[in-house]
Order: sequence, then C-alpha cells, then structure tokens
Amino acid sequence: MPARSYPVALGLLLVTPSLSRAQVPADLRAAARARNTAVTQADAATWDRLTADNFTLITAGGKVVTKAERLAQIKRQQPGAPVPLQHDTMQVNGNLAVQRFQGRDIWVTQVWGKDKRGWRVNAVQVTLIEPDSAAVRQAIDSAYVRYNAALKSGDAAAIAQMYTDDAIVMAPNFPAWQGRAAVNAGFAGFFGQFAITDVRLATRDVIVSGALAIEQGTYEWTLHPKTGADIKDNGKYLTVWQRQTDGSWKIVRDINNSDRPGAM
Amino acid sequence: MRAGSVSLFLIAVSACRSGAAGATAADSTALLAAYEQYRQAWLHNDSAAALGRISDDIQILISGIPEIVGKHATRKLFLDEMANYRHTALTLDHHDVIVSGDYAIVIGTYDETEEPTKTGASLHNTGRYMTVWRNERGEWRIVRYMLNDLPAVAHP
Repeated sequence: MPARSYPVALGLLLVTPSLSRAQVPADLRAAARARNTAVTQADAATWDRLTADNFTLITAGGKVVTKAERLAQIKRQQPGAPVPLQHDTMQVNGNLAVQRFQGRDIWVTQVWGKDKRGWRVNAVQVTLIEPDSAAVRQAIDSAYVRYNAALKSGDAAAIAQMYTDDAIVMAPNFPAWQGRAAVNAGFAGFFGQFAITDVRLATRDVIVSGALAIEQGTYEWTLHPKTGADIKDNGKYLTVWQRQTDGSWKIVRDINNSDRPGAM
Repeated sequence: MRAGSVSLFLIAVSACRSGAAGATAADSTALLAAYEQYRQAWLHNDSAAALGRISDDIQILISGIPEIVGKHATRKLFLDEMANYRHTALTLDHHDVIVSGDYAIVIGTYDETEEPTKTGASLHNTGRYMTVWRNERGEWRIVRYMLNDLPAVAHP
C-alpha cells in the first residue's frame, strides 16, 4: 500500500547512509578523481597506488581480472580522452565506500577501502547496459549505406573497415576469410572478378544480446564478370555484429548463401 | 548441396576451439550436450528429439531455397528428410564458439553420408555452417542456422 511504503523507504535511507557530494570525505573524492583520470590517461603508477593488492575486476563478459592483469592492460593502453561519468554516487560507511557510476555503455560499481595507505579500490564490477534494439537497428541500417556504396565502388578496404580484427567471413565457394586483412584481400579478389552495379540488402530481424547483434537478412545483386554475361542472384545472410568500445558496430561473423539452386 | 539434406544435423561434439567470451564451463558443457543430443536424434531418425532442440522461432537458411521459418515448417522438413534418408556418417568440426548472454554462435564444417531409404546411391555432403543457439530456461535450442558450400576441391 502506498501509504505504508513511506516509512519503510525512510528506514532504508537511514540504515544505508548515502552521502551527498559535499559529505564524501575530501581525501576519498580526490582519490576517486585521480584514479578515474589514471584509467583514461593510462597512468599505471597512480592506478597502482590507488588499487588494493587483492583487487579484482569482473568484466561485463564475466571474466575475473586480477590487479596484475589489469595493471598490465593499463600499461599497454594508449592515453585516451576522459569519458564523462554519469550518475556518479558514493555511499560511505566508515572505512568502506561504494561508488557507482555510468560510462558510455556500462555501469561500474567499485568498492573503496581505507587503510593506513589511504583510500584504495578493492573490487570493481562492470555491467553492460543492453543496447536499445531500435538504436542497434538504426546503426546497422546506417552501416549498410556505407557497405552498399563500397560494394558498388569495389572498395575492398572500406568494406574491410566494417569488420572486426578477428572477423570470420564465410562466403559460398570461397575459403573462410579470417581477420580483417584476409577480408580485405578476399573482397579485393572478388572485385577483381566481378563488378556490382546494383545491390539491395534488407534486414529481416535483429537479435540483440549484450555486445552482439545477430542479424538475418536477404540480398539481391547483379554481378558483372570480367567476361561473360551478367549474373543475377538473390539469397540470404546471417551476420553477427559486435559493439566496439567507441559505441560503433562491426561485423565479427558473416555467412550467406544463394536461394538459387546451383548458384554461388 | 541438396537442399534439405542432413546438413540438418550439422551438429556434433568434435573438436571445439572455443572463443567463448563470457561463456562459463557450464554453458559450454550444456551446449555441447545439446549438440550431441541433436546429432543422435538424426542418427536414430528421431524427429521428436531433433525438434526438441529447435526453438519455436527457428529460421533455417539452406542454399538453393528461401528460408524455412517456424517450428511447423521445420517439422515438415525434418519428417520429409527422415522419411527419405537415413544418416549413416557424420563428421563435424566446430571451429569457433562465441557466447553472449543467452545466445551462442557456433561456426564450423560438416561432412556427412546418407543413404536413401528406398532406392538410389548414397549421398556425400560437405559444407560449412553458422548456428545460433539460445538458452531457453536452461535448455539450449537452435534459433538460426545457415549452411553454405566450401570451395570445390581440385582433383589431379
């Protein structure tokens, strides 16, 4: 009953102290700011100083990463532009604090502990925010405008840029193209044999699951071989898109076949 | 490749080189068990067991024909296939597995032999597949699968 819910809610607030920004200890605020900057700037020394030795990170994919592993990642990464944190909150209870904030497409919960060396992060959990399926569909539609243009202009490099580094493409009657370089070479070889003047790709449905989008669609195109008559073909494809760290979507797995018996 | 061939049982437990991001050992074990059940269903002409590993919103994408959509159309396809052919050999190789949430994407190659139930020579099919599985209340079921042809092998 609504009338009875207020006292309960108030009680929860009392037993779960949530401090406003002004109430968060100054040394914790400074540590949180410095550590966030250290992550974006790939400042391994500062990150190390503000991270407990028994630190663990659980990634959005469910992998457990130790401090040594994470430190090695930070040392390898290039400094980047700071990502603005949204909905940044901190709950402090004595020498423990729980910070929660939202990045571009993730929620981050991190646990701070204070000891004689000051505030340090003990644990971080990252949760992926499920993308809105309409937004994914729009991103795919937009990608296909570029894809179609590259097909018509025979631009293998432009098409290859739409695939991930570890993409696998399985075109009928061709060996699998594994990796972006192979995708580039594969399309370049294809364009050496055929030109494409008209092509239509139509998405039938998209399943979104975490950072992947599984798209099923149909194609129609006319191939103009270097010699011989044009080949009209239509068929279907199954394409797996993967969201990238910059929010864009690239193809990670791709297969297609023709509806025409004996066709390509 | 003959449309509607056994490639329908494109699944078996062979070498699984998993790139299963986010997959747990339990996910992989359950997925491979589902694969094996599906394979055994085809080897025993057990249409009910095979359909038990198929999701209600299945889409089957075979070369040479438009897509087959839904459980009803799939049931007809399986029953026709099992009535006309008995599958005697199958080698499948899962090249890669990606797991994301309740979905798993598997790619690989297949090699199969099937005997007509009435008359005619046995058929040998090879090809490639991509299969999308969904974990439905603890049971992995196929929601999408597509097959296509490998490059022709040149014989000296």
